[in-house]
Amino acid sequence: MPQLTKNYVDTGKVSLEIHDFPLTQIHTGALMAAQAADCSAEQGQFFLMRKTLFDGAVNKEWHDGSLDDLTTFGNYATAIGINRAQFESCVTTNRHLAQIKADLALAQQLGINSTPAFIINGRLLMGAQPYAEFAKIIDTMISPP
Amino acid sequence: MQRFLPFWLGLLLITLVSCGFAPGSTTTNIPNDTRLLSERVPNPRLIGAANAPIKIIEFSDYQ
Repeated sequence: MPQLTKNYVDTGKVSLEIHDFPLTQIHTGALMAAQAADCSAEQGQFFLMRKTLFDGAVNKEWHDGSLDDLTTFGNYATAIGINRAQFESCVTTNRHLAQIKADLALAQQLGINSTPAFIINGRLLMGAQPYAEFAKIIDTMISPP
Repeated sequence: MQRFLPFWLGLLLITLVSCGFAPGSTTTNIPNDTRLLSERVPNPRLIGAANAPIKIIEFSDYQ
């Protein structure tokens, strides 16, 4: 969300924290993708890998959590400049599975069952929303009428 | 015993190197931070100021 980042995050008004919600029942590659993102986080490149994963999904470069996907993700790791061996070890040993489970538990606690979902200072916003909707909510929170 | 001191020192050095404690020994590149990512400071999955007045938590899937 570049506009949200530019107008609210970069100005110090908003922080954005990402949590995993792999829809494993319908997306067989979702869990490995979440692992790939979190394994990139430990090397400081979570957001770059996140963008790469989204772009790769759109371009159908990966899809089912297979060994082919692992190779693709390893190529992504190389492309974004992180240590590939550490990354692959992290993914194949499910190093951040506890984080993913914690994220899923939090989502369940908050009544979330689909993605994307947003909690804005405690207010739930479900689904992909235009920037204007975020701006309206945030502006109201910053300056209540 | 003193005659064998270099032997014992060498054996100690070999032991330390194999355990990764001696200078010049190599260690595998495995992070030793076992905390959840969300518990780390800074949180690697967060952008913006941690004390920003508005916090957005996004739950997302990659497919």
